[in-house]
Amino acid sequence: MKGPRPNTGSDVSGTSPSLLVRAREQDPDAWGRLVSLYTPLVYGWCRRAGLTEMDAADVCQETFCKLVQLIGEFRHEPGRSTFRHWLRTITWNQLRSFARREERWPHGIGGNDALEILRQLPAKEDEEQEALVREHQLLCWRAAELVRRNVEDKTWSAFWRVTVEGEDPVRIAFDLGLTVNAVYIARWRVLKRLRGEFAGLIDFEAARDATGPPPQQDRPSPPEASDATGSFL
Amino acid sequence: MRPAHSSEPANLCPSREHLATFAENLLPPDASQAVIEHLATCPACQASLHTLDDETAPFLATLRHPAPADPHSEEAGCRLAEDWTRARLGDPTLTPLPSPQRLAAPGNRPAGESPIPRRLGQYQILEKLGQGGDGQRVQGAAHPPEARRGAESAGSPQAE
Repeated sequence: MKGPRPNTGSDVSGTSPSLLVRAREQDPDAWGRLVSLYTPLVYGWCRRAGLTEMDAADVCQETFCKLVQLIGEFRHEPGRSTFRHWLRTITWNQLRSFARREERWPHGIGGNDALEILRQLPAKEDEEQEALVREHQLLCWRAAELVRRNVEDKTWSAFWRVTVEGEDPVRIAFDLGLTVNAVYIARWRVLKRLRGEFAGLIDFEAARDATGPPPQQDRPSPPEASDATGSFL
Repeated sequence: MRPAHSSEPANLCPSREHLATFAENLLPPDASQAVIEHLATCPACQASLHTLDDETAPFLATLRHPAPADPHSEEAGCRLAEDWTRARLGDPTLTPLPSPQRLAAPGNRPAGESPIPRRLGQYQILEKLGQGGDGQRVQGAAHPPEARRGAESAGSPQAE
């Protein structure tokens, strides 16, 4: 067995601080997991804004560096402000900074058109609603993958088959050489970990990200948001 | 190996509210343990719990459907973004996540380190130079974009 992993033992106990809390404390492992979780979103926003792959990768890492500085300011208010929205605002600001740099020093090779990028950003905001469902689903899948890495295969398999696949727990127990009791402990443990680790990041309970309107008002604004429209528009 | 059922007689079924609280991981450990022991012997409560999942854990329904198509996350640039960011933040150890389609297969763990493409667009990828730190630009993986900008601002556009 590699590393400290929960076993498929007979008790249910223990929890650890959420990824958000650990990231605020500058825990490197937490940051690694945050990067794994959110890179596709940030990178995808950059690509959809019109950046080349290389420039999107560049703005992506700049965004995470900004996030390191700002994460202490994020306050999760269920139903009002989501981490995803907040991160998106930071990304938008980085995109605007990028476009301003491109205006000054256009490299002209990658096909980026700074003015076009800036013009399109407000229109891209309108796509928000359509993107919500897909991005929430993507986050759920990636969160599940992150948790799967930290539990034993048997535990994951028991959880997956009893909750996602909806299989008969007696059959699962038989297949995996577990007790039915252990199947439900695995279920409890994985769900607990998912909810605990991603508390404040992903709304697992009500899927508001996926169905509700985006919290346009009252979301925390990172610095630079006030001058975000810039003089290019 | 036969699944071992509890030899104790099944307790009274928990109320729907109690089961829902359990499903939301909101019961304390000892109460959760009691519900689990009951579940192991009670097919009716097993079925109820599965039904409750739709209310208490909608994300499980999300996982029952295929992961959404996300073509950008399959691009080499996305891998590079993750590598750069991790290097910049000083944690180069984590491997990138595989595509979600591989998630459901038990034992299908991500295989080792992410392959960094040897070439991306006009960029020749060099070897990893070292680990990033505070205030440092990305080191290693590729020509850092600032080198490109620096070259251009000095009047020498980088050749294809």
